[in-house]
Amino acid sequence: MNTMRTLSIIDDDQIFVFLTKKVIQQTNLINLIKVFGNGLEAINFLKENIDNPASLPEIILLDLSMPIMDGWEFLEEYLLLLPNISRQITIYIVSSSVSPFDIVRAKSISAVTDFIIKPITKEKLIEIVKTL
Amino acid sequence: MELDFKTLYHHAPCGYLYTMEDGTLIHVNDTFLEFTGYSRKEIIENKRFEDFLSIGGKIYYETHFAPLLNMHGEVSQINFDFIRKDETRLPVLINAIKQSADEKQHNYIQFIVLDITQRKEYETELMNAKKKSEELLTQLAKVNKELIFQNQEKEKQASELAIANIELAFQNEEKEKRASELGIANTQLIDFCNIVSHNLRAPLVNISLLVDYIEFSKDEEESKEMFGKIKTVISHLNEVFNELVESLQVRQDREVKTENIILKDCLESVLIGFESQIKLYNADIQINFNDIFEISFPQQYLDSIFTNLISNALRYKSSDRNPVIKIITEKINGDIVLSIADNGLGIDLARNKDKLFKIRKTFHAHPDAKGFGLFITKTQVEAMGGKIWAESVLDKGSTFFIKFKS
Repeated sequence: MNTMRTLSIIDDDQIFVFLTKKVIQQTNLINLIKVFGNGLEAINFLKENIDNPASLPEIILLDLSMPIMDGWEFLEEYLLLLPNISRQITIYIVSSSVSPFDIVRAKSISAVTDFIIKPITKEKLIEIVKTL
Repeated sequence: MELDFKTLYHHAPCGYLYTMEDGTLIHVNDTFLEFTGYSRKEIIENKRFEDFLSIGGKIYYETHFAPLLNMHGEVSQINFDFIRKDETRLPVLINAIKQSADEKQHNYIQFIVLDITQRKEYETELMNAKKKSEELLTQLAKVNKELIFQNQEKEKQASELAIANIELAFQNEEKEKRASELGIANTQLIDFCNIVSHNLRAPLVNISLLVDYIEFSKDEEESKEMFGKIKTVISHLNEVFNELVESLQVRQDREVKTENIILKDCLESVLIGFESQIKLYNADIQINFNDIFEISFPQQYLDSIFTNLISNALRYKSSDRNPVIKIITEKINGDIVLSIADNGLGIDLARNKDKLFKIRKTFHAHPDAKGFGLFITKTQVEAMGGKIWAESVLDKGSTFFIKFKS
């Protein structure tokens, strides 16, 4: 059994966050869920805790369309921080986008493990958490 | 030195003849014999001066030389061709003097004969050179004419090329215009794709998730909560939908009526709506419509543009200073440009340039920020053939520029 399992949701859609949290809690696989309303909040958190692996999430579910700093900008900033981050973080883009432009672009970013089109199912969530 | 006149006479550098009045030779010197190749015996008293001349020379002698000599008593520097004994020719120059009659009443004539072979050769050379140069001149004239012709041809071709060039430039311009139209259409398509993906699909997904959740929920309280959320999502969806419909109407409405609008009147009626905010923030609104005070535009669009840009300038004011909003019209390169400048929070354009006018994009954590004002403003400006852009510096302020179609 792993120690503290943490997951972050970066998404401004409160309904999505609400439902996803509920599903994840039901799985009992994650101890801590942190939610950020946009990319900037998440980046600021990562910067503050860059040397503190226990606080960093193992998994990030990242939305694309957000105010202030969207998912793409978050990824740009994240790649700059990456060499100094003290924990392995797996990032999934979870977006309502069905646009081929977005999907192709996401595939070209090495830090992104997969592109999941909303809605994300309970089974998919369990799979993501378990494959860690 | 004793001069021997006889030797001098015979070896003089010119031929010397002494004849009777009719030209019969009496005396010749050796030089003359050398010139002609005859012996003295063959010619003295046997030949006359004329006998050494060609047929042409004889005629000239009879018609000109002899009469001149008779009349003036002397003739000088007349050119003849002498026929030698071997029938070759010798070009000569003749001077002649008629001696006055002696005691027997006989007239005599003295001739001096100068060999001018070299001079003739030189003359021929000169003539040839002259002829050659004349030929060259003729050729030159010909070549010149040819060149002028070619030049004319080239000028003709050049002017044809220039015409073809203008034609090509025109075609190019048309192509570029079409390419940029296609580019705009493509951008609109991508925008639309994004709107469908992010702004319409997201709430629909949420509704279906919530419905699923309710279906499997055994908790009545929870179901109620979910229903409440569905209502929120539906009203959000409705809002997005209405915004899209509004923007599509602007894009589709090709018949929208333009009218001449007095900018000051239009702006003042818009500002009435912001009166309480202006008072509350102690905002300074500076207006300068001196350059351009009137434009031709749809009234409804201009109202909306002023409303959106002024409400943004007030909403995203800095908390450190009172808002100053400058609204100016200028003529720049023949185009009417309206600018609305504020001293507010500013936007990081390096980061947000591409998203500034997109639907549902917001740049400040403000509760009223929806991401629709700039989107619909751009739609309205572009529907009327205009252009909108912005300059901004974080914490200094933003300026929005609108160029109206001339």
